[in-house]
Amino acid sequence: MAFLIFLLPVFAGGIDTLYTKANAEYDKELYTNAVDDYLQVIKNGYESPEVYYNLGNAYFKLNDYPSAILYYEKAKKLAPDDEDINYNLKVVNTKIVDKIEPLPELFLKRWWKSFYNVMNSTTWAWLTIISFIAFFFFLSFYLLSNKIVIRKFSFYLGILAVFITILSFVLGFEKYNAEHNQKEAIVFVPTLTVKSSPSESSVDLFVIHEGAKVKIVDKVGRWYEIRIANGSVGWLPVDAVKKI
Amino acid sequence: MRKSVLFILFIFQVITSAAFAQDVVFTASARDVVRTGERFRITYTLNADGKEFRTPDMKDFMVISGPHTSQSSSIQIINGKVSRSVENTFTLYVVGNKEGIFTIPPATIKVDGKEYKSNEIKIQVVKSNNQVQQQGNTGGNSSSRGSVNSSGASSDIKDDVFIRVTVDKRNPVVGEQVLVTYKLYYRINISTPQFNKEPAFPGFWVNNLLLNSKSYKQYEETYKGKRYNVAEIKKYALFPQRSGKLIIEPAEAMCQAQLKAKTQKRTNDPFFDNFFNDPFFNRYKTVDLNLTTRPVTINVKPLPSQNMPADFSGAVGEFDFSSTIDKTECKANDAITLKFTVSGKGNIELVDKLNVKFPPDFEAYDPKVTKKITTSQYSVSGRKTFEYLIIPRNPGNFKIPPVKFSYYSLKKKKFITLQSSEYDITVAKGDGSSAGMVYSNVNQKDINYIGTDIRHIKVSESHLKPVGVFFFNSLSFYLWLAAPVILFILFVIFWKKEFEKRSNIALMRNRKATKVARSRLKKAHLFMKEGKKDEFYVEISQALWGYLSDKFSIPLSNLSMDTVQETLAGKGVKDELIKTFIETLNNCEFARFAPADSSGTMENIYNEAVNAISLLESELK
Repeated sequence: MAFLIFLLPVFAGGIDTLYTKANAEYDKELYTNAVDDYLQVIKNGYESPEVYYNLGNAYFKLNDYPSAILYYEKAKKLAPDDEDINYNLKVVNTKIVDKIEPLPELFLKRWWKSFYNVMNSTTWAWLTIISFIAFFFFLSFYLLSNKIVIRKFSFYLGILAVFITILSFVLGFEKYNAEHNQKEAIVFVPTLTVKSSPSESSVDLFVIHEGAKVKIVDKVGRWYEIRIANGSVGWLPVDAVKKI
Repeated sequence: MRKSVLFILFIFQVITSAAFAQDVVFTASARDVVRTGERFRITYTLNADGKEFRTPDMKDFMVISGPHTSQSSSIQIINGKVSRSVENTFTLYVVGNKEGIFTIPPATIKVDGKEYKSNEIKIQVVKSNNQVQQQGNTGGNSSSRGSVNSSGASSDIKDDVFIRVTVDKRNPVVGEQVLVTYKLYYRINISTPQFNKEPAFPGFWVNNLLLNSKSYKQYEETYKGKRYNVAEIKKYALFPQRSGKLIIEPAEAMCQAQLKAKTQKRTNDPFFDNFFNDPFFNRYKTVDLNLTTRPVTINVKPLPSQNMPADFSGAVGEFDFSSTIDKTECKANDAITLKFTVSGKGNIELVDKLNVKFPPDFEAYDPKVTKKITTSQYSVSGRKTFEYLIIPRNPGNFKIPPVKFSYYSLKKKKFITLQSSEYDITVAKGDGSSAGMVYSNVNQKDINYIGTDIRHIKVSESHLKPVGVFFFNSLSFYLWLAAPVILFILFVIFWKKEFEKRSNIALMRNRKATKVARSRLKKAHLFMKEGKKDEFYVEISQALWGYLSDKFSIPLSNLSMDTVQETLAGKGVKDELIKTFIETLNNCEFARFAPADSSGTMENIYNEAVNAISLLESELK
């Protein structure tokens, strides 16, 4: 752990003060100021589920729903199981124009998702390391001990440790990908026509409105190929959306 | 037979209803021949409900009014089957000014998302008959527009009759009253103008100030050096609803003017000339005049955005705000009346809602709104009363917080928030039946959710971390993963070396064991010859034990008869040999401490020892 702390840059005291100040402004209903200060915290290169969540709240109070959704989604990415984040996201999603019925996900995929969402990628990384060390620990026991009981015991524990190592590495990798890759985006244009191919002259497929969440599948020039929750696919210009 | 008839009827009905569902008929019709300047009708008929009716582009005709929509629908019930037929009619009133044969392109309409086109219409426009015009206005359809082009006599008619639109201010703020007056200027005799296109004020909330007045205000005025009679024919108080450039669209009116007729020579007969040119007969002719106003642009400034109260709902003007309550103490289930009154000058009609927060346990009904708007010649004022009927359902002490009403004061140029008073309401227990309701378990209530809102921010300390820094997949993560591998390898190497070292010592001793034993035995042999009994036994036993210790790398301290037997058995030495060896050891120990001694026993022991070692040596090889 000491190693990890060493790796992180030293927190500037100012950032925490700024965050506290922003919270105080929110409490006083000075939402515009609070938004500015939260953004300042993020601009300084820091993030946390809390700061994204609070920023989303401030945007909500200013009736800027697309921004609120964007930051709630960012918060959710860091803390997928946080009840408050999920609740507020649900509330703000009732305020936008589009109601997109999501396709039901395969239950295995859903389980897998909820499994790797149990911890964040850093925790998965530490679990991998600890179980890997444990594996060698048991391995050396197995090799050195003369006693049959200890050898047997450490053999099985060693196999368990290998299993945990591989599993947590794979889960950690999934989680890392989910956290790291910006595969989703929020629409920031009041009304957006989704095209059939990446050109202005192509056929209009359907219309989505600001606040809608899209999944980015591909990119060609200044166009994204996107998929919305109900499975529809189309193209839209890059600057119409903001990545989560 | 009857059945089959019914069946045929049924089939017929299905067919007709299906036909109705499929065939949308959209037709256009108009008269084939019209005169120039004549107003005529173009009718579009649609047998379904359509949307987005688009009139065709008519360059050769002028649309006077329309499209006017009318709908007729009939519902038929035959044998319980309901069929509905609709007919939508769109009517346009059009005037043609040029002569010739013109084609009006099809109009379009959307029915269930599909676009339908009507047929084209061909219309022949022929020259109007002057005769009709001179005789005056006989009927709506045949009358012609007596504008400048009708005859030379009315070339200056535009200066004699016109409508001017005046506004009292051109740069109001949103919600500020703008007084618009339509003044009719005339210098000749005219009839009361009829508006065929009423003034339109997009972007304004309109209050007609002359709605109740029966006569026009009239006076004389000099305009551009000419003396006119002026009648204020329309007067509106406008309240702009949004900022930006708003345009008062032109209005169109028609009136009839009496013009001096050109003296026309009908006959050469001087008598008849005099007679018919007499003013009594033919001085004046009646002409239809089209009066069009100019569009007026009003530049509406937005309200200052700073310091705008949150509850500001658009009221601009000067207002008073008060409230009254009929009682503050009552029993549960008694009704209370709470009245709020907004009065003053301005766009009072737009005050449509007050944000009253009743205690959640109160039953509050939508307010009864009564308004009294007075429109004077110059402004709109009035009073609006919101009467709330509230019924406290449960006893207790409640508070109705003050209600805020905000408006923008034009005099002070700032927002003003007025507050009603706060009311403390004490509700006593009502009649037994209703009060008991609260406490009995039978009538438990679900929690009443009053509103939804997002949850509050998280105020706990934030675990801020740098954006985009992930421990997973980072260098340090892989270093941490590599560390145990490296440590393990180092450990194994170290351990192996140590193992080797140790096994080397054992090997050495193993190799030397025979040599050492032999030299010891040699020594013992010497002692035996000299008859030194003690030294002999010491050497013999050391030779035997030492050999075992070296050969099998057993520490001397661990040596005993049992361990010897165990080790030898473990190494796979024959039981016989073990026995011999143990016996030799026993004999040696026994002879060593036996009182009787002879060189014979020493000889025996020596031989036994040599024999045992050599046997073991050969066995281990």
